Amino acid sequence: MNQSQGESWIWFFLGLACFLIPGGVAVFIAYDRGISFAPVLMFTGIVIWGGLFWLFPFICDKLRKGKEKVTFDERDQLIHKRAVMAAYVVLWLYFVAACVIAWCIVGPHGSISVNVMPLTLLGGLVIFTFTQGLASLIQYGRGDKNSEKFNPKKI
Amino acid sequence: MNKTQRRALFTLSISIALIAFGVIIFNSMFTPGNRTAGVKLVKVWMWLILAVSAGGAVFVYWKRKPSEVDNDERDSYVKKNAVLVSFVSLWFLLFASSLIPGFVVGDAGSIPVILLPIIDFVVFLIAMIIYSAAILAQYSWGVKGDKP
Repeated sequence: MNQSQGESWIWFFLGLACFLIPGGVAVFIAYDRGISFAPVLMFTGIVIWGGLFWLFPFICDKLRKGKEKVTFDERDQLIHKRAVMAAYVVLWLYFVAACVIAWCIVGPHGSISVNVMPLTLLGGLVIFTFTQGLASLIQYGRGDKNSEKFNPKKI
Repeated sequence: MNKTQRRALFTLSISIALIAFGVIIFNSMFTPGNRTAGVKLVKVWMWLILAVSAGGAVFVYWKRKPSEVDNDERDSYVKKNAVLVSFVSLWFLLFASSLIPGFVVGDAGSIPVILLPIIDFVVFLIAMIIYSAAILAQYSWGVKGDKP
């Protein structure tokens, strides 16, 4: 298991909790006491941090260039790129599904509370992180199988 | 102008046309007694968008020279940067779209459910505009590493 694979596992389990718990608290405060500076700041931080965290490996790779030890190679970069792309596709499907479900629940002439909107975005963030982690793990799993299949030592 | 630039220009023009179309329709939807005018406008706009799409498709896929390359490494690099910019902007757009309604209608307010797909569609179109504009901007500035 290389560093990227380990990071994928960490994100898969801890990442969701890291966004879900503080995000839920921020939305709950906003719902209970109204929109004020503190919950908005908290929510902003979580969304920006969680939403842009997929850039982190690319930034680290740029910073590490020039050092001899390779921790994030081209294969990892390709896997990460594909995982992010898959996560974005699922994110869009989630938003489309959210619109359709809201329509089905309240009817075409109904309306929904504005407090639901940040919750929807938080759900999107969780789905995005989950899909990205899952896609990375699946790709690493497939890669391991292929490498075993074409391992010259076994031939 | 290469194929990537033409494609970006096509996406940009279609996205802007769709946003303008949406604004006009949205305006006529909520104006009392303007439904008929709205329907006529929809027909005119639909023909216009169809014509732009058909013309644009020819413009994008028409090869000026038989030796013209569809996509090279430089185009891939430009597209990769544009996707990155578009993805980052998408998060900010989604974040803004989830908080702005709260500030507009208040904490206890609500919005019609019909607005949700419209908001998502507008966010998508703005992300496409940013993607296309990023491609065109990179070509006009000169891509890093382009010079021999």
